[in-house]
Amino acid sequence: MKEFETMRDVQLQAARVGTILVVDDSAMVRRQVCAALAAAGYATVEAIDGIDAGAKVSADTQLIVCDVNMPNMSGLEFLEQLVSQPGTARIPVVMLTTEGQPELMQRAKALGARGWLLKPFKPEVLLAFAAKLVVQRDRSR
Amino acid sequence: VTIQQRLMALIVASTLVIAGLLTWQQASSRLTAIEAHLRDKARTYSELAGNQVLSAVAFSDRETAREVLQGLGADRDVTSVTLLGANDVELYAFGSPSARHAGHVVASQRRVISETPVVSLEGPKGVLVVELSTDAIEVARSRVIEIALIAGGIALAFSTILAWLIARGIARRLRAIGTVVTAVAAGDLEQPPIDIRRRDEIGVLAAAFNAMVDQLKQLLARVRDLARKEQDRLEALVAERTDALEARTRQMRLVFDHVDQGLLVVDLDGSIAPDHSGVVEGWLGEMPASHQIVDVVQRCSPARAAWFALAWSSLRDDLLPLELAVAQLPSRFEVGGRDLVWSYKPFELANGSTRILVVISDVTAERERARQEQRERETVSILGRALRDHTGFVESCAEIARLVTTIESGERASDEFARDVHTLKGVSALLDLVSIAQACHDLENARAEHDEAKCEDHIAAIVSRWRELAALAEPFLARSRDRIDVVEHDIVELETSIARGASSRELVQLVASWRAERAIERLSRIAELARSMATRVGKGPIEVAIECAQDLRFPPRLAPLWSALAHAVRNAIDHGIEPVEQRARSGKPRLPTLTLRAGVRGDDVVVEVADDGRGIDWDLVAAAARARGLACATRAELEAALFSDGVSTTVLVSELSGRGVGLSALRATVHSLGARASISSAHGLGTTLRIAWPREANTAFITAKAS
Repeated sequence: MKEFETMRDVQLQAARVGTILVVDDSAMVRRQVCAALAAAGYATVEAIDGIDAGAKVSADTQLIVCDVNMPNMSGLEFLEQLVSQPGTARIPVVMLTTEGQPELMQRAKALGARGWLLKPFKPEVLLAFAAKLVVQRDRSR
Repeated sequence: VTIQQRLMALIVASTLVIAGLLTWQQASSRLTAIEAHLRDKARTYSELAGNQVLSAVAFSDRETAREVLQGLGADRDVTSVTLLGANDVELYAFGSPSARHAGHVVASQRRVISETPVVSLEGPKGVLVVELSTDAIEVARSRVIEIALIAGGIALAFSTILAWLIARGIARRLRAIGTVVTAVAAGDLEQPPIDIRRRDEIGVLAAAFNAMVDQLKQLLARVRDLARKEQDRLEALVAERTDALEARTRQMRLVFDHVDQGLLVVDLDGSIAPDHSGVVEGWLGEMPASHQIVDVVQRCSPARAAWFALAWSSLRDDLLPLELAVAQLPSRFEVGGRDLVWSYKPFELANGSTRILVVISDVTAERERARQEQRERETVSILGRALRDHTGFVESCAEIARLVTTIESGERASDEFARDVHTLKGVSALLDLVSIAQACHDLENARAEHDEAKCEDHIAAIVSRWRELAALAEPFLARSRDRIDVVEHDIVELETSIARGASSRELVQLVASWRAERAIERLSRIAELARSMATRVGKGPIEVAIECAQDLRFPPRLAPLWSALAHAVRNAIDHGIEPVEQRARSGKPRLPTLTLRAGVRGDDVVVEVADDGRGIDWDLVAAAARARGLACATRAELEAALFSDGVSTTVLVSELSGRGVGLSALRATVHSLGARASISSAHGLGTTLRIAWPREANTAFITAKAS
């Protein structure tokens, strides 16, 4: 728990830089992901599908955690749209996926997804992704 | 030009020089002697003849001169004799005299000339000239040259032979040494010793060579000996080491063959190391050397191979620490009826390359046993509950039955469904019905994954398990319908009331209250549950204090309150109470205390669950609320956020709680009973959850003493 406290302090600082966009049609999953990220001090924005996510991507978005299967616009379609635009192409994306979707994940990887989070996800894996990708992005700025 | 040739040339040349010098010296002394002899002879002849021809000169007597001088002609050396009288009249001439000039004989190269004046007493003066031939000298000289040539030839021949012999002797011995040295230099020490019978310089050299070769032979022998010994030693050492290694390998192999876990070492490319434990092949089939881990998965569990390959390839992405990256690999496989758990342990080799140890455990029996034990435990638990806490048991069963029914037929996507599942999870966990609690937990996960097939599986599991348990509980439930528990205290109270002459209305009220449950009993049972649960989740042992009036009773309609309270207790234990080490760090007593209070406070009846745990981090609540778009400015707003759907301050989703559903489910229950819930907490010090409702509603169930 002590590590958690320290990490939280670090992340609270990191959170001031930008936000993490969490895209999933399931409120439960969004809650879990956001709770884990919020507990580590990241500011989060939620979106319910690809269309909603497209509207909520901003200059502050540091990382996108995105489900694969969603109504209206799937995670892959959203990813396609994201990488096709120069302003958003460099935002790292971590897909939320299940073991049953290797082909979709393969396509997501080909489209430029940086990693994936296997559901049910382990918070430490999510936070490791966030730590790695958010820091990387800060450096690249 | 060889040494032999040089030596020969030197010896021949020096012999010739010596011979020449000797010959020259001999010849010159001989010739000088002959010449001196000739001069002596000429002078002697002149003196002798001169005296005898005095008269002849005096008288120019040719006859006398002829008589005297005729004899000289007998000497073959004498080439001419001339006697000149006065006025150079020739008185006698013999041979061929040399020419004269100005009264003197012109000296000739080839003659020894003696010119003697002859002075007679009478006056006339004459000259006697005797010339001797130097032919004798010439003869002698040519003789000397002849001898010198012969001697030179002999000397040359002799010296050549001698020189050849000497030079050959030296050269041969030197060559012999040279041959041996060349052979030795070429590495052949097995040469016959050089002949050293002659102790001259070459002999010394040869002896030195012989000694050197001997030394070399000895040295070589010693070195060979040493080398052989060293080689023997090394061979022995290697053999020893090999034996030790083989023994270790055999031991390892033995361990590998008998260990009941599958052990595989795989590199990041997916290649499997040739050595693996024996059970691996039994469980997963043949493991040819060319096999990759992905091939193994393909064969054992084709449906998961694609994902496995993808996840394995991501290990090299370097995006996550390897320890976390392996957490996304499939860990459970069912192969040939076996339940296998794969765990992945990355490690680094000495050369810096990374390998992953795959530890495969067969948990079939363990799982089966655990399932069996769990079922037995559940049976015991449900029977024990039926006997100990009949009222609670009946209520819990009724609640579970209601929840199972609503879940079975409920709209899967609704929030109510989520709350029902969560409540069922809590109630069944409290009754130690772990199988149902686990199925609820799995159902929540499947629901989060939108895996509808899995959802239905879990719902079916919940329903069928509950039917089994309900069948078990049925006899006890049947018994309960016509019975009320009365304890000694109730009888004593009734007797006391009768004795003091209580009114019949009072007595009816008292007896009627027996249908209501005594709060203290319920709190005691919850305390008992709390203790066992604390131990189960690794927080125990804990101290549970109960503060409650003996005769506080709650009506049956408030039964759902107890499950809400159970929720609060679970929250307190799971989230509130810190692990022992952390308590020690913050200076708290090791033993956590949970306080259960029930009582009347002013116009309200209040039930509280208080813990001395870590309290609520209101900053985190604020962050979570902000993330959910809720108001978070004041404490009241934060409290409201805490009770709303989806705000949870824990990142851990455990079997017990944590999805942000708990407090909202509690609030829903409490509201439905006309009560209200509130929470107060100081970060780091503890949390108190309070459920309160107006006293009026329950007056009938509070005895006079309590009020």
